[in-house]
Amino acid sequence: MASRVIGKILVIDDDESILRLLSKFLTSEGHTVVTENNGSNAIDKFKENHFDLVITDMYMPELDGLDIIRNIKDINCNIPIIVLTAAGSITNVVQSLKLGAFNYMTKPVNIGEVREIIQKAFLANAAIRQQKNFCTYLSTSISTFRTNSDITRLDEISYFINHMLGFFGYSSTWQIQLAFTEAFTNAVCHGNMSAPDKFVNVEIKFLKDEIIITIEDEGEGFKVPDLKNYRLSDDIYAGSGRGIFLINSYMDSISFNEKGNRITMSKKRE
Amino acid sequence: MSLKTRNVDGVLIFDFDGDDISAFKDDMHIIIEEASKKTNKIIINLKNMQHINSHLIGVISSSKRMMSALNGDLVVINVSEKIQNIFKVVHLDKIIKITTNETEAIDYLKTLNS
Repeated sequence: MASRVIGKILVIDDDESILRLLSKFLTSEGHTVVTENNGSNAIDKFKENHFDLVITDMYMPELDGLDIIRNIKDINCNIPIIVLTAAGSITNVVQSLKLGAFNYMTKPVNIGEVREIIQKAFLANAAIRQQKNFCTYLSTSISTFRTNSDITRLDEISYFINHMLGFFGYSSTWQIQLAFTEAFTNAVCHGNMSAPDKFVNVEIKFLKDEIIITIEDEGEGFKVPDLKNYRLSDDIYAGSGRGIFLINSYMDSISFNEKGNRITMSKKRE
Repeated sequence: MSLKTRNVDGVLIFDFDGDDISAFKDDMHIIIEEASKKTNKIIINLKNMQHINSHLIGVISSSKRMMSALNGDLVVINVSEKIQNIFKVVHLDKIIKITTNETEAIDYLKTLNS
């Protein structure tokens, strides 16, 4: 018989009978199991403890399965999450997979299926750990992109950044994604004014413990603000400045060239 | 990114779905402006949104201003912890009412004059 991988599993369901059933079965399989019948408490437990896997019910009062996935993936985007759902609830299954769930199981729970899906999830996680091992000797990667003023390139490059950050062992990436989104959108829509004949150059340096992103557009540039004392307008409804403010808030450093058409921003790995 | 609208008890609910936030351009402003001709009570449902950007933040704040000018209000519901963090950074939490669910938001909006 092939050896099984064991780990620490957080099981979330408002149905105590499901919690008891899964806890008993998973413990008998050698896993360490923590159960929780409330979504908010479950997220607190996830913040405070290390888990290898999360199993969550889809339909719960207050926070449901989709909320759980969103919150947990913000804390650790690499954690595999398995969703429990009633048979036939395909819409939410699709949504949960889009949000990054690893797989789903339908109720009533089939113990054989539970074992199989959990093993697949652990194997996938092992692949991520190997990836992390790979990053112990991957020291630097520099990627450059040159694209015309097409805002749809944003998602493609964001996907690439997210993938590479995984290689370099980053667990939480949303701040970098947000900063990139703001700077790239600014370059395409405001710098180049979406002119199809103007280009945007992006350089991304993935260093051991830091990412440095440079984005340059072919526009006229703009008056570079005093970034050290940069604050939002007292008029909260004011329309401009939020993008740079967000970049300044979430990245460790941000600078512009004199003309104001090239931004360089960096963030160290936490 | 898709955007669906529903009308519940005179409240217009915008359900955002998907993360292709680059799809947000000026269209959203036009949609909200059109909506303001019919109602002064709006709910923005971010349940299926993982990401947000400054453009959508701008849409929400200008829509809030539009609804307030009509003696109504705008409520944002199902806001993830991450997006709440971003709202706080740009001080949006100071002007926007956020509730955890739709029922609570509708109950609040019903207390306002149409």
